[in-house]
Amino acid sequence: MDIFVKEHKVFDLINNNYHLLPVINRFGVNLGNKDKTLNEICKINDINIDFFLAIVNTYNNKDYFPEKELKSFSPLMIVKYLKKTHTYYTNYMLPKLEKLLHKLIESDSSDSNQLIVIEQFYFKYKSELLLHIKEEEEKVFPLVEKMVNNKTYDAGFNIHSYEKEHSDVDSKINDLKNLIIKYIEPTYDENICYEFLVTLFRFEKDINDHARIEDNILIPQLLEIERAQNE
Amino acid sequence: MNKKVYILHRSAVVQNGLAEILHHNINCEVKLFESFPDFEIVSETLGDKYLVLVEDNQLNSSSFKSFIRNRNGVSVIKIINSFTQSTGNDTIYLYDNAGEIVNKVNVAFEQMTKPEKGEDTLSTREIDVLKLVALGYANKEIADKLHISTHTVISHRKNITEKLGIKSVSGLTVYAVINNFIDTSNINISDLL
Repeated sequence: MDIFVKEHKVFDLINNNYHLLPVINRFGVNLGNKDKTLNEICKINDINIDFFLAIVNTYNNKDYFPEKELKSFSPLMIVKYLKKTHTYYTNYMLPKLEKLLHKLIESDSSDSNQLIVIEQFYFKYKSELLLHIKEEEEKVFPLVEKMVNNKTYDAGFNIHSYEKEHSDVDSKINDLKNLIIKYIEPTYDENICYEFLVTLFRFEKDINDHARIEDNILIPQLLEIERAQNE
Repeated sequence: MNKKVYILHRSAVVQNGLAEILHHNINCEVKLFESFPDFEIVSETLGDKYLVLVEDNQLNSSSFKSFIRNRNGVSVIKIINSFTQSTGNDTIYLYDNAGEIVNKVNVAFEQMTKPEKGEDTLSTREIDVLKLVALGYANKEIADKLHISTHTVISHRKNITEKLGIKSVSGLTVYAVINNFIDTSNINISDLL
């Protein structure tokens, strides 16, 4: 897959990968920019273009690693971006999934409780995800701020413990897909079910790409800071 | 795995011709039989995973059909003695060229050696383990209850996850509940998750 550069336009980005729509939105970039290049748009919106490209390319391409760009923007920018992503999950994605799941249950013509159990499983997943988000916001992000500002920080929770974290939360979303696609009796409205699944797939993809930004951008930057401070 | 092919055909020319083609192209063990009864007598000694190439009139006999029914490791390719050619992989025609025959046999072997992934029927023992996992028991407790080793419990759990495609304990619990493996009339399901 191609790598996006500053001469590209928003249309190139979205036409290539429409999953980038919410990503550019997190930067405050709207549609309707006519033929402006990404570079021009970033200038207008006061966005670091290297940072913008590092994020969209990491998001767009699993094998992309922004080695050169890493030094040209602050980890604090990433934290700000990640927080916006969290807000997108909690304020938009999760409520949307819940609404669809609720509609799906209402459409069920049988008297089985299968979908109710699925909903309970979903809520279990949600509570773990929210806990994970809370951990990041309350522990990881403040740690990043302290590291960047060269302040001392509690060695008990460091980047190395953070590196290993996300995993079980990921397997639950996969289990949810599996249960619905393979095992639930299809006594519901199919179109609602498909819409729920498509939303779930989109959400899963976004979460995975979000995790990759943490692993490929944030953590290498923090390790670099740590190395510099130890010298 | 040592590949085994058994050929059931009345014609010695066909038997030996097929055997010759297979020997030249596939590393496998070939045995020849004239009829199903000859084959059946020794069948117990032939292992439980093999491919049979069988003349179509014998294939359709009720004795062959009932023989094959409960043998999951056995794959069948039928041999049709007529001058037609086809694209199907489960049939060999006498006028197929050697390459086609080799290809069909190879495809059959590939399908046989595929692990039964995605096969979602759990064994009775696996269901026993799944029930206890769903009820929240730890591996050690499950081992004690079922009088098996913890190691065996872990291996059952691995197989269950592989068969179902479900990894998390809560996911497995949901599977157990929707399949009525556990009685939920007196439990609050969300407590189990």
